[in-house]
Amino acid sequence: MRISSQLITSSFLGDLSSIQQRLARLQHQSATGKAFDRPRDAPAAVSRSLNLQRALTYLNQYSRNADDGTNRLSFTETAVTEVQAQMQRLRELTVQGSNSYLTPADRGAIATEVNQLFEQVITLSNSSLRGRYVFSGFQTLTRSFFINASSDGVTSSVSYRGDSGQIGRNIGIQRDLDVNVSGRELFMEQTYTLTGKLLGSGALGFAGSFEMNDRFFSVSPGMKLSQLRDLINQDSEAGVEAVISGDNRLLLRSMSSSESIKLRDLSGTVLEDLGVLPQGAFNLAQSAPTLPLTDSRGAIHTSAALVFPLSIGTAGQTLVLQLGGAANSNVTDSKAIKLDAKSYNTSAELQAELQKKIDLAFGQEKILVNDMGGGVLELETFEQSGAVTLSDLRVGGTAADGTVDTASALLGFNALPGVQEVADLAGVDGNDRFSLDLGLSAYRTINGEPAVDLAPVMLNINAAAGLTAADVVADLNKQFLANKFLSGLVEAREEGGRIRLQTTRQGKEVFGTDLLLSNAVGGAVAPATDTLGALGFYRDVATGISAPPVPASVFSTAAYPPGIGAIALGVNDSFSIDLGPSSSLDGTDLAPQNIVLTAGAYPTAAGLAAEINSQIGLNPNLKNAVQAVVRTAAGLDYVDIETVGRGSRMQAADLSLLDVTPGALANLGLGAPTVPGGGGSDGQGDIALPDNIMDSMARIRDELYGFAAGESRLVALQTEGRASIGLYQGHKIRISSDGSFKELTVQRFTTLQDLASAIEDKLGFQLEVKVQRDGTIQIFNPSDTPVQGIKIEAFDQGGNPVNGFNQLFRDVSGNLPYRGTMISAQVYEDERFARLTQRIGNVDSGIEKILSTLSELGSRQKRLELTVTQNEVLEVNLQELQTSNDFVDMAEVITLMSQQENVLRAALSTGSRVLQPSLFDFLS
Amino acid sequence: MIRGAFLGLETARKGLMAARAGLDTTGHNIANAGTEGYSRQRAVTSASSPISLPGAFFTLRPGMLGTGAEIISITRIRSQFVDAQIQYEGSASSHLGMLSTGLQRVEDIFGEPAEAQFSGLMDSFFNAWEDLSNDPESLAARTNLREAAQGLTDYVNNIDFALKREVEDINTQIRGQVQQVNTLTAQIAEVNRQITRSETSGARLSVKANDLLDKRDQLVEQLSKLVNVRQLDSPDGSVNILMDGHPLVTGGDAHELVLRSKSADPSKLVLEFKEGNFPAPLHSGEMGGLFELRDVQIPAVRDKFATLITAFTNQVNKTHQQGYGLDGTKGRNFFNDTQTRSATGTLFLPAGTTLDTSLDSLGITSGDFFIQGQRIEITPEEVLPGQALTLRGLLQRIESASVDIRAELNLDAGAPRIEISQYNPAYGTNSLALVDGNSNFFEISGLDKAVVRDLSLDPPYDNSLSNFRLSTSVLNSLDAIAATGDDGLGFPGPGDNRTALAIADLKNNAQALFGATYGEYFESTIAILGATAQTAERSEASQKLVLQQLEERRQIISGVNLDEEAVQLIKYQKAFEASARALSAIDETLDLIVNRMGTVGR
Repeated sequence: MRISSQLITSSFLGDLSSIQQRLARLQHQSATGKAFDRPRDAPAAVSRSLNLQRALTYLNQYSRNADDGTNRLSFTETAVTEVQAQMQRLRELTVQGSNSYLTPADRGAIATEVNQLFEQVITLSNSSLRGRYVFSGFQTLTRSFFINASSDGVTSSVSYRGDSGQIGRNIGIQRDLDVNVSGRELFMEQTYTLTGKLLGSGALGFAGSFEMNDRFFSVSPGMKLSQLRDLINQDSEAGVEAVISGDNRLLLRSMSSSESIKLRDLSGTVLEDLGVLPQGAFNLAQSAPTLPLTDSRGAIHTSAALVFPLSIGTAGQTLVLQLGGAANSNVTDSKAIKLDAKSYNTSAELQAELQKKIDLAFGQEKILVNDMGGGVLELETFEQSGAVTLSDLRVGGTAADGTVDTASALLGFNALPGVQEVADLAGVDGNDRFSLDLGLSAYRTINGEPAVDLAPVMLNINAAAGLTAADVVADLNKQFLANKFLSGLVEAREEGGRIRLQTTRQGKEVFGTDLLLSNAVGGAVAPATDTLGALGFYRDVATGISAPPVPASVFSTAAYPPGIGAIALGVNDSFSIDLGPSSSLDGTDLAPQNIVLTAGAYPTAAGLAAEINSQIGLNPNLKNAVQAVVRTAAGLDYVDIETVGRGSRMQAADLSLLDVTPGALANLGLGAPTVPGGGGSDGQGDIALPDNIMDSMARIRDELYGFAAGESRLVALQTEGRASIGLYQGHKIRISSDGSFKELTVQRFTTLQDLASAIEDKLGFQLEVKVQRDGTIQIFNPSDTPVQGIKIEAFDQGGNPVNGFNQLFRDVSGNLPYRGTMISAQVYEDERFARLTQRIGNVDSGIEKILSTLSELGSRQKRLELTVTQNEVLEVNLQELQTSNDFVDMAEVITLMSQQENVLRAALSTGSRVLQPSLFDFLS
Repeated sequence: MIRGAFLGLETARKGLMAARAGLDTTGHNIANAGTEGYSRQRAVTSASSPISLPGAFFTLRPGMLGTGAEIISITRIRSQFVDAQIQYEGSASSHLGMLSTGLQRVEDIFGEPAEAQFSGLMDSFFNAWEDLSNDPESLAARTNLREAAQGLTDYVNNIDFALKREVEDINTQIRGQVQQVNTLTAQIAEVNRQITRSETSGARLSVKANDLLDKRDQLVEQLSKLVNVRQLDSPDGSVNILMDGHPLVTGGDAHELVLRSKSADPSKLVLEFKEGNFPAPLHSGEMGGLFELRDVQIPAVRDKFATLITAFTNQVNKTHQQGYGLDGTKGRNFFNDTQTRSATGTLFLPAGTTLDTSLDSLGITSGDFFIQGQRIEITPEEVLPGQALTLRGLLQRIESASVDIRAELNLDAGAPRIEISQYNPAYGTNSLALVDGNSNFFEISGLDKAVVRDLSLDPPYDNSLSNFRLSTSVLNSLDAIAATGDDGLGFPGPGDNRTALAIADLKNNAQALFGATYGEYFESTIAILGATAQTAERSEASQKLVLQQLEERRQIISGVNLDEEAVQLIKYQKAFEASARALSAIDETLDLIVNRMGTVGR
C-alpha cells in the first residue's frame, strides 16, 4: 500500500485528537464526578436520574408533611390530655356536689371551681397553633367556640363556629391522613338535636316557611330534602347543622352546647310536615322572660339630631323660652337665652351652656336640659304647682323684653311644648291602642346573633277608673312580656307620674327610629281616641307644634287586592273565636268569644286586621292569646288569625272560628283553621337533649350555683321537704304594700323570677328584689323610704289561700325599713340534685369520648412516625441508586485515565519517530 | 535506406526533454506535498514512433529503429470513484454534524440534568402546593406557591423564547449557506469554462488542466458538505452538478438557489431554485441538517413539551376550579387560559344512529385510544351484544377524560356524525390530539385522525408555551389561589386544603399524559431528545471514520510520498545524465566522422 506523506501526519493527528478527547472527557468526569452532562451522554440514565431526583424531592416533601402533621396532632393531643384532667376533676366535684347535706356556701365553692374548670376547658377548646384554631375543622381562622354569656357574666353555653371538616395531609402516594379533630365531635358530641319523620328522597311536596333561631327559611313543593339541608347549612347565622339520616329524616343539630333550636312556622305547616316540631320544642325555646318589669320616665327631644360641631354663627343666637302654668307656679315668663357666637364640639358642651344660661334666666330647677345622646337635647320642666300641661313650655316667639328668637330652629326646639305629665288619664277610655315599632338596633343581640327589625306591635290600654301612670306602665310591661317579640327589648317606666318607654338596649348605636309609636297599626282606622296624646306621648299636629319622638303613622299604600275580597261588609258581620286549653292564657277551654265587625269598607288588609285586633284587645280572654296578622303572599294581602302561643301541644281545636253572622268567615276568606306551628300529635319529632362536655360543665355548675332557680316554674316548686307548694295554673298571687295590692296570675311558665319582678313592680323600683341561687327571694330596701305593710299571698280560683306557698313567704311581711332585708324561705325545683347525680353519667361518657380521641390521636401520630421512618429508609435507598446512576466510579475513571495517558505517551513517542525521517534526510 | 546522421542526437534530446519533464513534475509534486486537494501528477512518456529500417541483408528481417521518448501527458493520479464517495459521505457527515451540534444547543436550552431546570421547577411547584396544603390559611405559603409557579412559567416562557431564537439562528445560518452554495456553484461553472477552454484549445487531447481539475474537485467537495450533490462528467471536460437530479451547475452555467417564505409562519423559509420556483430536493449536507433541525427535530421536542404544558395547565386549572379562594370565590383558573382556537374533526355515521345506539351495533371493538393524552378504554364486556356501552356512555367517557374536550353526536348535516371538538382555549392552536390505539373507534366513527393529527403537528409554533403564565386573578391576589374543596355549600373554610391536596397529588397521576405522569412524560421527552442527539453524535462519529478512511484512500492514491518523489528525482536525474551522455557519445561519433575521418594519410 502506498502511504502518502500527508496521510502519516493526518492519521497521526486524528489518532492523537481522539485520545485527547477521551482524556478530556475522563478528566471532566473526574473533576465533576458526574457520569453525564447532557441527555445525549446517557439518555436512559439522565431520565432515570430525573426520576430519582423527583422521587427524592417528593419523599422529602412527604416527610415534611408528616412532620407538620405530627406537630399538629401532638399539639392537639396535649390540649385533649389537659381537657381530660379537667374532666376527671369535674367528676370528683360533681360527686362531691351531689351530696345534699352540703351547705349552700360549700356548694357555691364547688360551683366556683367547676366554673373555673369550664372556663379552662373553653380556653383549651379554643387552642390555636400558629394562629390556627385546631378544633375548628376547616374554619381554622375562626375561634372554635364562642361564649354565650349570661347576664351574671358567667358563660351560659358555647356555640361551635367551626365545622366537621377533616384536614388531610399527603404522606405518600395515594396515602393521606387526617390531622385534626373536629371540636364539634369532641366537645359537642351531642347537642340539642331534632329528628324529623321519614321522608322520601324526592320532592318534598309541601310548601311554606318557617323561622329557626330567628332566621327565615322557605320551602317550595319541588324542593328536595337535600336542598333544604343545604339551605339550612348555608345559613351560618342560624347556628343549626342539618343532616339527612340514612333513612331520610331531617336531623337538626344545634351548634350551641346547651341551647335548643327555636322553631316557628311562618306559613304552612312545614315543621309539622318535616316532623321536627316536637313536644315541648317551642316551650324549651321560649324560656320565660326574666327582665325587670317596669321603670318610668317620659321625655321630649329636639326634633332632629344636631350635628356637632355646631356653629352658633358670628352674631350669636337667641333662644326664647316661655315658661308658665304649673311648671312655673302659674307665672308666665318669657325669657331670651343668649348664646354667644361660638362652636360647640359636643352635645354635652351645648347642654352645659344652655343649662347654665337657663338657670340664670329662670332660676334653678325650672327647666332641665338633658343630653339624650346622639345629638338630641331635651328640655324638661319641673312640676312647681300641680300638673304641668302641654302649653307650659314653649320655645320661640318674642321674649318679654322684645328679643326675637333666632336659635330654636337651629337647635331643633321648634316651638317645643313642655313635657306632658300624665296626671289625669281621663282621656283613656278603655278603647285605646297604639302601636310600637322597634327598630333594628333596639334588638338585643347575643354573640353575633343578627338583629331583626320588628314589625309594629299593637298595644292596648285597659280602661279603668282612676287609672294612674303606674297602672298603664304595669299594663304595658305585661304586654311586652307576653309578646315574644317585645319581651326583653322594651320596657315602660313610670317616673313622677310620667310614662317612659325605653328600649332595654341602650348606647350610642341605638337611634330615635328604634322606638316608634303611632296611634294605630295601619292607620286606616282612625284612632278612637288620641291614645298617645292622652298618655302624653303625642302632640296635636294641627297646631304646628312638632312632636319629635313620635313618627307619623305608617300608611300602607298597597291596594287591597281581592285575596279575601275588597271587604265591604254590608251588614255587621260577626264571628267568634274559640280558644282551646293550650292556646288560652289560663289554660282553660274557653267559650267562643265574639268578634263584631261593623258594616263599612276596609280598604286594606291591615285595616281589617287592626279592627279585629282591636276587638281582640277589648276581650280579656282573647287579648294576648290570639291575634290577626296580615300575611302577604304572591302580592296579595291576607288577614290571618293565629294564636300567640304555639307548640306541639296545640291541637286544631285550640283555635276554631265560628260564624255568628252566617257567611261572615267566608266573607273574610277565613277558612278552616290550621294549627299554627303545632304538630297534630305529641312527640312527632325526637329530641335528643344536649349531652356533651360543654353542656355538662355548664349545667353542673348551674345546678350547684342554683342559677337555674330563677327559671324554676312556680307550679313545679317544692318545699325543703320535697312537698309541692300547692301552686297551680290560674292561682293568683297578691302582692300588697302601702295599703294597695297587685295580683299576678300564675300561668304555666310563670317563673320565680317573674314573681320577683312582680314584687319589685309593686313595692317600687327603688327596692332590689332578686332570686338567689338557693331559690330564695331577697328584698332589700336601700332607700330612706320605708315600705309599709308588705304581704305576699296566693289564692286559688275559689279565693282560698294556698298555704304551701304562703308558708314560704311567711317572713316576707310587715314593714321594710331603710336598709332592711326580707328573705323568703328556700324552695326547690323538683329533682334538682337527682339531676346532678345523673350528670355524672354525662361526665363519664365525656371522659370516654376524650380517651378514645386520645388513642385515635396517638395511633395517627404513630402512623406518621412510621411514615417518616420508612421515608428515611427509602431516601437512603434512593440516594444510593442516584449516586450509582449519576456519579462515575472514580477508581474506574482514574484507571481509565492513566491508561489513556499511557496510550497518549506511546502515540507521541511513536509519532515523533515516524514523522521525523524522510529519504531526503539521507540524500547527500 | 540510409539513417540520418543526426537521428541519434534527436533521440538523445528527446530523452533529455523527457527526463526534464519528469524532474519538473516531481518537483511540482514535492512543492505541493502539503497542498490541500492536490493530486500527485506523473509525466507520462512513451517511446516515439520508430523508423523502419530495411536491411541490406535480405536474409534478415527489416528492423524498426527507436527514435527516443516523448511526453504524452502530465496526468493527475486520482480516483473519480473515491471522489464521488467522499462527496456523498461528506454530505452525510456534515448533515449529522450539524444535527448533533444543533441538538446540543437544544439540550443546553433544556439544561437537564441540573437543578432549577424544568424538572426541578415542576417539583417545586408541586411541593409548594403540598406546603400550602399544610397551611392553607397562610399568605406565606401562598406567596411561596406563586413564586414557584412563576418560576415554572418563566422557565417555560424562556424555553419557548430560546427555541424560537434557535430557529432564528438556524435561519440565519441557512441564509449564509445559500449564499455560499450560490458562490460555489458560480465558481464551479467558471472553472468548468476554463477547463473546457484549455482542454479543447490544445492541439492534442491529452492536454490536462490538472490544477484546475484539482481546484474544481475541491469546490465540488466543499459544495457537497453543504448540500447533497452528485457530479456528472461531460466529454468536454466540464462537470454537471446535480442535486437529486436537478442541475445546480450545467457546464458553464450555475443555477442559483433562493429562500422563499411560503407559509404563514415567517420563520419557515423554503429552499427553492431561483428559476422555475420549484423546491430544491435537499436532504443532506449541513444545510440539510439545518432544515431537519428546524423542521423536524426542534418541532418534535417542542411539540412534546407543549403537549405536556397544555395537559398540565388544563389539569391544574380543572382541579383548581373545583376549589374556593380565601376570598370565597370559586371556579377560577390557576394558569392563564387565553388561547382562542378550537378544532373539530367530523365524519358521518350510519343513518339512524342515536346516543342510545350501542357500540357493538356500530361495530366498535374493545381496546383503547387516546384523546388529549387521556387513555379512553373500552373493555371487552362493554361491546358484548345486549350489555354494550351506548354511544352516550362512550362520549361521556371521552368528555370526562379531558377538561377541554366536547364529544357529541352532531346531526347538523342531516346524518349523524361524531364531533370531537376542543373548546377550552388553553391548549393553543394545535391542541386536539387524537392518537389511535387498538380500538377501531376512529375508523368506525370516521374521525379522520390524520387530519386531526396534522392540527397537532402542523403549526409547530403555537402559543401554548409563550402563553403559559399565571392567570390574572392569581397574579393579582394571593387569595385567589384555591385550596379548599367544595361541598356545594359555599366557601367551606380557610383550613380546608382538599383542592391543594388534589393538585399536589396530580404529580402522581399515572394517567396524566399517554399513560404516564407529568414527570415521566417529561423524562421520556428528555430521554428521546438525548437519544436523538446521541444517535446523531454517534452516526456523525462513524460517518467521520468512513470519511477519514475514504480520504486516506484518496491520499493513498493521490497523495505525495516524498520518499517516492526522491526516488523519482534520482531516476529522472540519472535518466537526464544518461541522455546527456548518449548525446555526447553521438557527438563524439560525429566528431570522429567529421573531423577525424579522411585524414588518413594527411
